[in-house]
Amino acid sequence: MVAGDLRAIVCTRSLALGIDWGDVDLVIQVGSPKTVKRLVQRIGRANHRYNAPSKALLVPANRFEVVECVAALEAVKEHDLDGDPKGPGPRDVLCQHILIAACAGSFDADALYQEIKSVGAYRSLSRAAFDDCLDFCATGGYALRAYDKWKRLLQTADGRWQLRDPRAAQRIRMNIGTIQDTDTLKVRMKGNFKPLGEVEEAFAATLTPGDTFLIGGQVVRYENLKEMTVEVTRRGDKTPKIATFMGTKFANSTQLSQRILRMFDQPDWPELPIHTAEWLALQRKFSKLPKADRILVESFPHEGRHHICVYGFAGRNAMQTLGMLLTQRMEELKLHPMGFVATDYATLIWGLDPVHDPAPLFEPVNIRADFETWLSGNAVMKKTFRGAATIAGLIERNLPQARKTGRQATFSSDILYDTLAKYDPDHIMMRITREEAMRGLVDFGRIEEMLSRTAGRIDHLILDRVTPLSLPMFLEQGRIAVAGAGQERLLEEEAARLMAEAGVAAL
Amino acid sequence: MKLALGLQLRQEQTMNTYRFSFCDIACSALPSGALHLPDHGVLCVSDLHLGKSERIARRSGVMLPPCEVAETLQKLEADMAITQPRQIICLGDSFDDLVAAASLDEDTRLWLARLQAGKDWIWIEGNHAPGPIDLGGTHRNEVAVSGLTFRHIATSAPAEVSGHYHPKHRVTGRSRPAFLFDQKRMIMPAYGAYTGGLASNTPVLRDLFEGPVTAILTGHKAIPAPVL
Repeated sequence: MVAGDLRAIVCTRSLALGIDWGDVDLVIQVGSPKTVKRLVQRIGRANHRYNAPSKALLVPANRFEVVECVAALEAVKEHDLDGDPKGPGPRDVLCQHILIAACAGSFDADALYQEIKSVGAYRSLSRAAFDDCLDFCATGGYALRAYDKWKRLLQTADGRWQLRDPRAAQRIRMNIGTIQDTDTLKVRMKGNFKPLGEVEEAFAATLTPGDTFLIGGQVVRYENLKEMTVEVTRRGDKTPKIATFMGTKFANSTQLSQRILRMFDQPDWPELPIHTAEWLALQRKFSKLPKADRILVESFPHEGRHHICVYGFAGRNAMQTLGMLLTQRMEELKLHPMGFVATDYATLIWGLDPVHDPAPLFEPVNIRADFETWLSGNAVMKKTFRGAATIAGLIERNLPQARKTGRQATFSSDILYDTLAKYDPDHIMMRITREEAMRGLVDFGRIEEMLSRTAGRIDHLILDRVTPLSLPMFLEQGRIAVAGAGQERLLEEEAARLMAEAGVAAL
Repeated sequence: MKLALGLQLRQEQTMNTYRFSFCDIACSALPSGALHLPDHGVLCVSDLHLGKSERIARRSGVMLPPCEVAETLQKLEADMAITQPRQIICLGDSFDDLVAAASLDEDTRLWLARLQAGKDWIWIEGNHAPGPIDLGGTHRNEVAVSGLTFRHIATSAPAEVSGHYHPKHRVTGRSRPAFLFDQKRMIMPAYGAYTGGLASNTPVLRDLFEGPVTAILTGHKAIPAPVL
């Protein structure tokens, strides 16, 4: 790239920040940039010189993204930038830093505390919070003092801290890092050692032998999974699947959401392409366009399931949390919710029974109370816990050599979360998880913002088919299944069907 | 009132178990992953892996929540209360290793002793924790119950119940610890709280069976499904 040999490069946000390449002619932004600042930053990658204009081509992936892109461009032109202030430095990262410091040699706790306080993000770190992290690194920090004999860090006679077993340094160093990678598998030709590339584990799980997919510019045929490597052969006579890479998804900013809602209030949309303007007009004709001061709820049947689509415009993470809270309440009401998917603007829930009156679902008192009970036992918390526990050194990453032999060695981090929630709910990892989730994936602040701006004004429309605005929701990745009675019922039905098919119904 | 609640609990548990016949013996798979032979008063659990967190801390320095012993014994206590067995068979790998067994704290030892009181308690040898340990109960390589042989690792002999492999099975995208059995042998799921698993379709597990294999998924309810 630097030598100018490559004509084009496909990248994630990895090349969006901190790289100074002068000879990029054009940036092609696929999908919505989600925040105004990010759009400016990305356009700025092209012609990165003080005297040349930057150019970018925006490629929205669906009609909703057309609206988002136009709204973001208008904001750029009006110099209306967005963004939230950064919070205090995360403590899971601090735990990792303490362990790495111990790998480098013994350290003095007072000196390390002073050094960490000199970092901007940690300048308000209290000594008690620091000592909590140090205790976690040394003893595990459990209420049940279980590891007296096998502490990770020991204090020597002169008061300095060091690793109990210096050999642990290698393992700790191999787990350094704070970016949560998706687990990937290498792909290689059968009988050939050199890997062709990598696919995400989630994609590999969808493959059955004989399936073909595109990698490194060629179509290959999936043969098997051997020692955590996907083995393929050349050539495929089927239409190739496209390997998907989920990456990280960002929530769009409050400012951008508000801008989009203001656009929805317009009588017509001359600034939008015709197909998108028509799409919004159709939504207005057959249903309603969402408004800033009301929550719009659409009910409609689709593929044998009852769907409700809730337009709250609180950003992806908050809409995801809302999905969790609503499905939990629906579970209590025995409506058998099966799953949901969230985007920045809406949450789509499907289930076995219809919702006749959504208003009680949005009672702020109920939502807040549900939130507290819900926080302790849900998938987002478990996901956040996994991240925080990995960074803090409680869980080791799936290193290639460990995975090869790891038949019974690895078990789900969910089990650790569940046992901590039961036996040691105030453990430092649980506190860190809660903090990180509140400002990251849970984003409850924006649910509060949504509740106060709509103040119980709910429009419920019962329709006979999928609505124009809800359509992009069906293309959205990242569907979340609700682990409840509905799923148990389906699992049982499916198992019974398989039993009957196999002719072993009467055991 | 308390009695009524207990009765209700027991009924619910009975509803969630799966009754079937294996080598002409009435069996009941509990949703926890325990096997109950009601006609013989036998309760069998496999691969408890007690002391796993201690062993991991000792060997790698990683300090997992030290809760798996309490979690596993609580589950076992509940299953014993429901099934009222005469004999308990722990089908091997009951402890993660001998040091882990030796370093159980006093409360846990007392708890185990309480569970063992008045029961015929059998520790089957496993590959993780082989030798005898200073806890109550009898140590055996294998044990026979009415023609069924209980041992840790499957052999080619018929009418056999074993553990070791920690089988899991997947239906509608959800993978859960599961019993696997055909006409001749049964592989039990791991009962311990901190245990991973091996998918039912991996060759090493498939090769153990001859006829069509049925899985019984554990979890909220024991659910049978064919292994295709």
